[in-house]
Amino acid sequence: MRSLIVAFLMLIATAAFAQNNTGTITGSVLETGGGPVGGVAIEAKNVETGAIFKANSAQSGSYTLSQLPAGRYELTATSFGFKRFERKDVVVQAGQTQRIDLPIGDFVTLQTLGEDRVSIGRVFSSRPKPPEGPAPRTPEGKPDLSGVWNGPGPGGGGDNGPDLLPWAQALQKEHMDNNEKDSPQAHCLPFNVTSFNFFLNRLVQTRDVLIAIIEYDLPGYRQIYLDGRGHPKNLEPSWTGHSVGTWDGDTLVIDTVGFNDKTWFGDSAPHTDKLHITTRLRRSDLGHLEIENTFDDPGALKKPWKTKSVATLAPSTEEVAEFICNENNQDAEHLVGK
Amino acid sequence: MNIAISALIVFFAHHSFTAEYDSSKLMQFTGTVTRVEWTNPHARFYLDVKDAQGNVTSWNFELGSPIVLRKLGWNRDSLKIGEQVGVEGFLAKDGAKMANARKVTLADGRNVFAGSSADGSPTK
Repeated sequence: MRSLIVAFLMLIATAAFAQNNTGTITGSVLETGGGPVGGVAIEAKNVETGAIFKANSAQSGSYTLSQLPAGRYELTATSFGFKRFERKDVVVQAGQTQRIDLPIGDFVTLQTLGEDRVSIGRVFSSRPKPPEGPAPRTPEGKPDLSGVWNGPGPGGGGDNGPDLLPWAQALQKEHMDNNEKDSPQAHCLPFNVTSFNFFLNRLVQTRDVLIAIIEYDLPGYRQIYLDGRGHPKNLEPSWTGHSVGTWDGDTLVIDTVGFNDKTWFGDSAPHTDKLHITTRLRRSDLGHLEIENTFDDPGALKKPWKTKSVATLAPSTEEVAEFICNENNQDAEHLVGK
Repeated sequence: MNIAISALIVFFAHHSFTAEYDSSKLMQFTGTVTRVEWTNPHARFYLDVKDAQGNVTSWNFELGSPIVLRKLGWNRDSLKIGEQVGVEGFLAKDGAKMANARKVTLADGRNVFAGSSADGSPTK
């Protein structure tokens, strides 16, 4: 009994000690209009120790990070469809609770059912965990990238977009000022310069060609030649360019050139027909495909722009849906812009 | 500017919301479903809406792509011809009888085409 009391007293002492040396950050996550935003991932990173403390905002928008050891922190809030909130030099003092509201702005107004934040967020959050195991190999001993892949979801990528030359910046601003009314995708033209999109992507790899069948993409397929051919001379510019792949160890390096200048980078940035994309695909294990893209365009970019993401293997029962964009594109004539 | 993420959104969205709809003109509609188009780039449905004088106007409502709606468990029969529904949406900027649909509520209070299970969407 006595030892129990001692243990109890020690527990109280420990709790008191912890309380005395830790502090709390609490507040609300608010959208531009002042409304609460739930489900936002909030992280406080201790600058000195690198320790990370996490919380999610409730439906009411409120969040609390407690038991934070006193010190200096970086506070971030990320959620799909919102700009990342970041605040450095947050000082947590022992025994104190401080209130920090986190304003996070929209990228765009996503409202329409099926295209709203909740819907898209659910599509990503309901994906099953990818299977474990070693990456399969072809009879020739190369990694086999075949499979149905869930494209990379939101998050990651950092804040660095392409660094545009002045003329391209000016044209991007014009596009944005017009609410992207002339964007290729709004008019059912190809809009994705890579061979991957965010929903399902079926890769079929043979010895001589890698075929990508891409959901919610136009034209919905890409051919990447693996038979050792180079790019043709006098290549005619096209919407999706010409792709050849070579192996660098276990990484497939895809070189794509021959684009026209009619697609946009992302939602608004122009490129020229000098666009050259180097894609590195590495199946790190059965369930994961690392995708690294380097976009080089001396006609529009100050320097090459690199992105990294990871696709995950979807259940083999998943089927890539068709996307006949022009069957009912009533929007085109109603896109007034401003 | 995070192009990677903004690209993602536009790819989902087919077109910029603000290029077509007026975010300051949120309207409530009640009417009878006359047609459902399970098509790309947007699924659509049409409502006959009766005003106080008894005049009937056909309104055209935009939803997301069937590709996404299907992933959420919805299908072309989620809304039936002849059904009475309430719709909340933003009007088209050009004055057409069109709106986006941000909330569709059936007579029994269930919300259809929503992405949140709290709104009564089916579990896949």
